Amino acid sequence: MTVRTVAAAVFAVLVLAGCGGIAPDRVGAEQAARDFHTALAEGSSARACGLLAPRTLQELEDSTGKSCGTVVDKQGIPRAQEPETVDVYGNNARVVLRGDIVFLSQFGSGWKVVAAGCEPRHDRPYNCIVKGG
Amino acid sequence: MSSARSRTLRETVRDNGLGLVFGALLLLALLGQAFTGQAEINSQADTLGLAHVSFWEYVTSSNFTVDVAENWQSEYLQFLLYILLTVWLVQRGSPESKKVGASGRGSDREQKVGRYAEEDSPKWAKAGGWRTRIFSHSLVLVMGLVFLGSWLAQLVAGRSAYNSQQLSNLEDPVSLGGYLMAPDFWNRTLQNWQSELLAVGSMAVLSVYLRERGSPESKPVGAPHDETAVEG
Repeated sequence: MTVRTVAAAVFAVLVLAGCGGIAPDRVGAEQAARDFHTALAEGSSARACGLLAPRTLQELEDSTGKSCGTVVDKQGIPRAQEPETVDVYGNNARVVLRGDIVFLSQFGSGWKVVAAGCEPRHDRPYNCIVKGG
Repeated sequence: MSSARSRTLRETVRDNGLGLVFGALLLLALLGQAFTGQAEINSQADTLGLAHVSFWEYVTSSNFTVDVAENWQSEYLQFLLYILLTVWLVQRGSPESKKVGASGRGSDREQKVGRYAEEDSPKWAKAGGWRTRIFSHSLVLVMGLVFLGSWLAQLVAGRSAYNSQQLSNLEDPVSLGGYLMAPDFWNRTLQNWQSELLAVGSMAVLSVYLRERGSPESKPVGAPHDETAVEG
């Protein structure tokens, strides 16, 4: 009885750990990254701004002194196409697209872009054109 | 009939008091850990402007799993080591130790196995062969499996929680092998091991000189300090 209870508890922990919690929403993160770049490519700044995380939107507007819709397409975020790899851990994700790397976080309203136009730096955080404060 | 049933229930509770109380305390502590952990993670989310997690999301997250698993593995390692080391090592004067000079596995007669098994000995103690060999080490085997399972859970869940942090810091996630070599994994592991080793070591030594009247973990209050393997 005791052995079986302990074994069941350990099994439950392993299953949860193996899943990393609730199955991560890879599709949602990938779609949000794709939508962000599609909106930029189509010149739909309002849609791109709607996909930015609150802190990232605020940082962009504070640093430029202008509304997101008028500046988001002038930041030099490289054009990007199909996602190549998607990593999701907890409420955070990194989507590597052909042309750009985007970091996202999950909010109540879905996945939002935390940083975009990112380039890796050795042993340091990515250097991103747009990111939260 | 009803009074017989209630007597049986009373007897069951009385006969299993230790297991039931520790089981209940475990559930309460886990529940407390879950609520306070959720509050902490949501406080961090506020700081970063991220979304809150629900109670269910938190208890099924890698953050909660790694915090539970890292403690479980160290507890089972502690008892695993204690069970094994006390076969050969002694502590003079400790009720936790065998008598000095009595270290080792013991003879079949002393262990009541095979042809020395008694009528009410467990079936696998009487059986002989591989069944008796396995049963002779079943406690360590199960404790060892739980230890390894919990440590593995710590590794897998710890990597997931670590990578979530990495991504929120705009850094690369690490592979399982990379996390196995990461300071985070070993710091979580060793900080738990050191406290368990301290607790079990001090129990073995302090019980030489100190007493708790009535506890089987202590010697009788009047037992001399150098008397070994005596329980109160």
